[in-house]
Amino acid sequence: MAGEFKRLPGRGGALLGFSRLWLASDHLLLVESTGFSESYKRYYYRDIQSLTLRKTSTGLWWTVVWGALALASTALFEGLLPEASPTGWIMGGIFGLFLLGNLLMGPTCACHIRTAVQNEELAAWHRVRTSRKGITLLQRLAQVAQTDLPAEETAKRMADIWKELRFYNGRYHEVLGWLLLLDCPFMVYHLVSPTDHWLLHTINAIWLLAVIVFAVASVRSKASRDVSDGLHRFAWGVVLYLLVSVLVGIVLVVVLAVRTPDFFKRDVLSDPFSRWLNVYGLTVQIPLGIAGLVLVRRLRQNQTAIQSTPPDTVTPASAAT
Amino acid sequence: MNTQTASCTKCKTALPADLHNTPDLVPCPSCGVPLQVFAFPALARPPAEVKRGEALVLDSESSCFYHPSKRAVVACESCGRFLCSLCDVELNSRHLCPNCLETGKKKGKIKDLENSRMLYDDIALGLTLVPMLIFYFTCITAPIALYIAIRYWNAPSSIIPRSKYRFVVAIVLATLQITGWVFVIGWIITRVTR
Repeated sequence: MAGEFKRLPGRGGALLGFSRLWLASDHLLLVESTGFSESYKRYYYRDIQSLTLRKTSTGLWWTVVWGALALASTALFEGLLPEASPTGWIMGGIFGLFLLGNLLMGPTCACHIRTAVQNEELAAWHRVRTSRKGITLLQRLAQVAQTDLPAEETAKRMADIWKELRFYNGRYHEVLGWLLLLDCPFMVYHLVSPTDHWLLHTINAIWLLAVIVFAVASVRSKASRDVSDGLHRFAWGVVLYLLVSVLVGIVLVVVLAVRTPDFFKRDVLSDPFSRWLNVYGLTVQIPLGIAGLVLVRRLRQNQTAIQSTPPDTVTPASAAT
Repeated sequence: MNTQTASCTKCKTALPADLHNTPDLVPCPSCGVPLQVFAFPALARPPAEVKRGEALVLDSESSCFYHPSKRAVVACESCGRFLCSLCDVELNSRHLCPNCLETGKKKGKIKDLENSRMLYDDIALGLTLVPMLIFYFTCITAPIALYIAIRYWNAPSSIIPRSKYRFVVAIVLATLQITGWVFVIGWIITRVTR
């Protein structure tokens, strides 16, 4: 187990850096990064006495700030600029997105970790939901590390829990799966009635960008999280599919453009080559998307099963008696 | 019986045991702020006993290297010196003397005592990306970034999992920037000499 780390959810930002929490085999690692250097603090599981979540009003204040900014910018720009200008709504929309993000992340909190010699705030955990997720994962290891079992038995139990710990819930892979499937109706629409409209091209470009972003995020998630092999293969499958599609597309466009000089003047979507690309896309994306979603579902089922197993709870009150 | 208990992180009031491990947030009895305490058995554990080195009784007994009048209980796993229980420092099931611990920390030999690291890959990447805002600086920063990326390629990076892609991106960008400058300088020289 030595040398392995698993990233816990949550990230705390500061003016000149951020902090994250990682689980190691025998300690909780707090990593504070300034961009060009990192500093580490270790909290050994056997030493952790308590974790305290205290609800704060920071989230409420952010809601007020973003809401006020959204309303003020919309009203201000609408009053200052001519009626046809969408600037006010765009600014309002941007602040509205921040407001929505803040609301979706849930209430804020301050989380303190206490050992015999320190009581420190964990800046990485500043949302109640994220903190609870992290604490649930940490709890199992800390409970076992603090039992009065023989060292070998404790080490064995810790190793078992460590193996079981899968706390990446497949978020990126799920989005990737849905993106692959949601594109299929568009491809079918292209096949049935090929129309060359700027809106469709824009949607296609945004879709491609989103797939690239989530494919990269899914592949990268293997480095720091415990992703199952199946899900990892799915992410690489999508990357491979994208590479093959782009390469095939480029080669075909070049070949056709050389053979037919007026290629770019024609309606590209109604071209047989474009239709074949759509058929190829459908035959790959549907099974790939479904497989991805099934694997994510399986991962979550496993996690639920593991997390519903109660740890050997020893409350301080019962241990003291 | 141990009397340790968790306390409210706002008003510092000690929280009664029935407020530990509650399923949801509960108000602090003193200040009323909603909180949730996840207490562990270590909270109830009595403080560790203070170690005292035992005095030598027989002449045949080994004595501590640092305290000749104390009985040795263990040998340092790094230097082999005999240590009394006062000098024995246990770190991850290893027994070390304070001297070896200090030396190990200074030289970075004991990974568990490392408390900071430089991220040379981030420095190299920063030196290639940030100056692109005012690209004149890249003629100075690109060679520096390339040097750092090559010089520290094998240097220990973060202790958490991290790939070398930042180094690769920094090398590619720095090389491109240097190539660009070579072309620009070459073009200027040819214009001047014509």
